[in-house]
Parts: sequence; structure tokens; C-alpha cells
Amino acid sequence: MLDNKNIKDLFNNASLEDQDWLEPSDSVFSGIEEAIYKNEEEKKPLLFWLVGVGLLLCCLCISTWALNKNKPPSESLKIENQKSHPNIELNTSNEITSNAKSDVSDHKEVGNDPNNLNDRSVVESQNNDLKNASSPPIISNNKLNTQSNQLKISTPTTNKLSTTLDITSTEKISSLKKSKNTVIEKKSATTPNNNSNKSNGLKSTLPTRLSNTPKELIYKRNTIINNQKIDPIVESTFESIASLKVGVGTSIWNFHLNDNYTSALNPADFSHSNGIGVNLNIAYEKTIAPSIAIISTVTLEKIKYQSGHNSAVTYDTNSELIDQENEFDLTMASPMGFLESQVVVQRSIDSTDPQSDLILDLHNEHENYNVDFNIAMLRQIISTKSFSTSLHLGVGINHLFGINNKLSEVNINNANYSTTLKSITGNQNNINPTRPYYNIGLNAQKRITSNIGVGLNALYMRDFTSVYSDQDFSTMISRYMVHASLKYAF
Amino acid sequence: MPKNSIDIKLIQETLSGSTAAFENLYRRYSKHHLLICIRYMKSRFDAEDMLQEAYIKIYKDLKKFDSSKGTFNTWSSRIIINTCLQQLRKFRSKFDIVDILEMNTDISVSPDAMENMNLKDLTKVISTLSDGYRTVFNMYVIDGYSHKEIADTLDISVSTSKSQLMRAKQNLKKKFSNNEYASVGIYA
Repeated sequence: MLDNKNIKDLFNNASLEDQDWLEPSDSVFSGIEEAIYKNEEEKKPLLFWLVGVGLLLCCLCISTWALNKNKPPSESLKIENQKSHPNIELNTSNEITSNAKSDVSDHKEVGNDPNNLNDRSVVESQNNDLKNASSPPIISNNKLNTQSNQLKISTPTTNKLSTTLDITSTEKISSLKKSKNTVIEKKSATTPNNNSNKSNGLKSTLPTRLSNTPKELIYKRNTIINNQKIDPIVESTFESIASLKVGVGTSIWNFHLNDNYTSALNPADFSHSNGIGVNLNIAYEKTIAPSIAIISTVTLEKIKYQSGHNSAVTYDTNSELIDQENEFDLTMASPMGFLESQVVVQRSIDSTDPQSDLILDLHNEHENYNVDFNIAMLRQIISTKSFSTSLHLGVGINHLFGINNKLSEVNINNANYSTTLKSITGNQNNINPTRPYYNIGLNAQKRITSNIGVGLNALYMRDFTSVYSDQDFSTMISRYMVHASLKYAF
Repeated sequence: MPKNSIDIKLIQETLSGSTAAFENLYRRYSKHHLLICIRYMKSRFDAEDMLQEAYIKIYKDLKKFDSSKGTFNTWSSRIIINTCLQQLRKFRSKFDIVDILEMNTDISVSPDAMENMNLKDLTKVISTLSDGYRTVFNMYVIDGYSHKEIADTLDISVSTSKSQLMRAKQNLKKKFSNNEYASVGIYA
């Protein structure tokens, strides 16, 4: 008698040394080795990508910092530069003097231009909390040379400056004198050791200067410089531009099944296509610095793909329901997990075997929609008058919805059997519909008119998390997206 | 050196990066593990596939092996069985549900039929069983699972597990009696 214990002992405790038929073929271990090394090799590209993206971000940060450092001052920074940059202080004083258009015929000691004082006061009061106001200007050093029609202006806090000015109006000079006297009086009213009083005195002059916006000041400054045939300081070419983009394009989805999943499906001759889809997107782009913009995009996408594999079933005549039919509940594989289906197989009267092993060749069609929100930085790398190319680097979230599956075709390896009904009874479980991802790409743009342009974008996107995960099985998605866009700047 | 000590040494060397040690480990148990795969899978081809897949898992999970909780053989055999069951669950139609309450838990085979029975023959006969019968028979009789564990693992009821086992034994008895195993040659 062969009881349970005997059978168990036979299988578990018997020596297998002489059982040559149990020797696995060499391909088994070579397959194991290959998979192990492949796993370790796969980690290297990931590391490479992480390091690459990190370096890229560093480069972008450095270049952004360098650009910001060299770029013309923004409105708040311009004021600061007026203090620290001699030319700007000179220009500001020139502006006032030029506005006066004074003609000076007599040699007069004009003293310090009160407006110049005011300028400095504005600068210092806004940027240094009036700290520097404790150093009163040396008025006696500022002289108007009437013989040469030159106004020499110097201030103690800056390098000595000189410029040639056309003075055309004696009236303006008079008014300047009055202003100067007013300021001198105000300054005299303060004691050198009383900073707060000094600050108050200087503050009283602020409204006059602040009535001109920094942009107006720059415009006036350059007008003066042009008149003097001096190369103007180039005003910032950067202008924060907002634009709206609408685009359509196509997408390719790659499904990356992990080793366990691939190995499990291999015996069933599993195959699948890449996902192909169309997308519609709308984006808002805003330049935040010269050559750098932030773009946020919302994309709606429709993807289709196919998959198929074999499934072994045993047709049992004893299990027939009606009309020589057997009903099979099958579990089918897809790149994003397993589906449940029902297939009814009909036996022809020619087949009389009580049990037949059949191979069903199953073909599925899958479709899904997804909405995608992406935020990215565009870094201009090539720029001409009407054409620009930018590097696109961003992150986003993709959300799958509307997942549809269809069992499109079932072929049987035995001509005596055919399918009469096939349907999907359950969609994939364990799908992670919302996944964060990173993307990198290129954006080319051609300007058509001053505010309309067309563009072409090529993006690569890779999910951070798997779209399907169940125990040891998982699938990651990477996507390629190309779309053309129409841009309207406003 | 005890077998388990050699295993632990090989595991440590494997974890240190020695592929040769892992190959040694594989060679030590590959026959035993292939036998498990053959018992569960219908073809040798599938069995070798499962062996390969299971060993990849073993390699990846080797650091989780705790020698204080059991031997490498026990631990790795569980991984082999789970890999086979996972595969069977994915691609086989559901187990037939037959409610049979009475059953005989021993296989009574005539002494004549058993006379020349060996491991290979028994394996051959088991392989001729349908998926459901074979899986429950393997799990209960050879691998020591209880019906409750089988029911939980295969997502069937306990009574189904029992009925599958009974049918499996009836089938085996019939095959032994008819010397059917002699005509089964898929593992030769």
C-alpha cells in the first residue's frame, strides 16, 4: 500500500543523486544568471539618469543665477545701482540738469545740485534705510564752469564724475539754485549727529523723485545719453511675457513589465503592442527670467494598444451545458494586469474525444483615456529673431480613466472546436491610475507675428511609480509625446 | 560540515557578490526543486521555466533568509511552490467545485501495481492528473499543506479542496491499476 506518508517520504527524503532525469538543462541556470546580471545592469542607467538630471538642474541653476547677476536691474535693483554705479548717478543728475536745459553765461558756483542730492537720498533711503544719509554731500565741491559750459558734479559717496552738459535756461538754473538753497537749509536744520532728523529731512524730498517711475527714469537717462552721443546703457531686453498654447499631437506608450511579470507570462507566449494615442493640450507659459520660462500644461489623451497570449483549457464532454458547448472562465494577461473573461467553446460533432486539451489564442484590444498635468521649466538654448529652441524639464501627474478592454479574437488550435461567445467579465485590478512622472524634452518655436507663433514639442516622460503592481508583478510606463502647438502671447 | 552550515556559508558568499557560490547553491538543490516544479506543472518545459523564475526570486530575496527559522531547503522549496501556484492561478481555469464529503485519505493500490513503482513513475502518473487534482494532491499529500491552507491559497472552499483530493486519488488508483504510468513519457 502506498499511503500518504510513503508518497511524501518518496518525494522529500529520497536521494536524488542517481536521478539524472531530474537534472535541469543548462539553459535554466544561464537564464537565471542573465536575469540576475540584467537586474544589476538595469540599475546603472537609472543611476545615470538621476545623475544626469541632477547635473542638468545644477547647470540650469548656475546659468539662471549668472543671468540674473548680469541682467539689467529690475525696478527695485535699478535704484540700488543708482547708488553703487557711478554712471547711473551721473545720468540721474544729468537728467535733471538736462531737463532744465540751462544756458549759463556767468561763472557761478552753483554748489551741489539739489536734485542730485535728492536722487541720492532716494537711493539711500530706499536701499540702505538712510544709513548713508549721515554723510552730507560736499556742496562746495560742485561747481558749474560757465566758461566751458561744463558742470562738474561730485559727491563724496561716489567716484568723481564729470560730464558735459548743455545748459540752455538760466531760469532753470535759478530754480535749481532755489531748490539747492532749500535743501541746504533743510540740511542745515539738521545736526550731523542726528541721523533721524537727517533722515526726516531727506525723506521730505522723496515725493519729488518718486513721482518718476524707474522706467521713466531709465528712458529719460537714455534720452540724455543719446543727446550726448554716449552709448546708452542697454535696458533689459527681458520682458515677462505670458502666452497661451494650444496643441495636438501623438503619443507612444511603452510598457515596462518587470522580470517576474515577464517570466510569468512567457510560457503563455504573451505579447503586446506599444500604446499609440492622440493628445490635445493647452498650456500657459510665463517667462520668469531672460531665457527661462515656466510652462504648465493640461493634456487629454486617448491611448490604444493590443495584447495576446495562449491559454490552455481542457474541453470535457461531461461538462457540456447545451449544444456541445463548454464555458470557460479565463484569466487573461495584459500589460497592466489581469482581466477576467468568459469564452464559450463549441465542439463539432466530428470530435468524440471525452476530453481534449485545447490551446486558445486570445487577442485583446485595450483603450484608455488619461488626463495629464505637467509643470516644467523651459530653458532657451538657441534663440534668433524669429526662432528659438528650448530645453523642457518638468514633472507632472498622469491620471488614467475610462479603461476599456475588448476580447477581440479567440482562435483554437483544434478545427473541431470554435468559440460562440467571448466577453470580458472583469477589468484589470491593482491599477494605480494616478502616477507622478518626470519629463524631459525639446521645444522649437517659430514666431509668425509679434504675438503669434507655432511650435513643435518632443517630450519623453517616465513614471516614478508603477501603473500596475500586484505582489511580484509590476509594470512601469514611459511615454513619448510629440505635438504641434499654436502660441498666442499677450 | 553539516549540510545547513554549508548552505549558510554559500548564502553569505552569494550575498557578498559571489555568483559561483549561488551556482553551487543552485546545483545542490536544483534536482529537488525541479522535481517540485514537475509535480506542479504539466510539462517539463514549464517546470524548468518555473525553476528559473523561482531561483531569480530566491536570489533577490536571499537577504531575507533567516537560518534561525528553518533550513534553506525548506525556505527555498516554499518559494518554488508559490511560484508554481502563482503561475497555475494565472492561466488555468478555475478549479471544479465538487462537494463530496466522504473521502478516503489513503491511496490503496494493489501490491502488484506498486511492485516496480519508483519516483519517476509516480511523478509521471501525477503529471497526468488535471491541474486541479494535481495541485491539491501535491499540496496536501506531498508538501504537507492542510485543507484550510490549500483553500486559502487557491481561493477555493475547504470542501472543494477535499473533493479535489479525493478525485485525484481515485484517478491515481485507476491509473496505477491500469499501469497507465508506463505509457507516460514526457519526462524521459
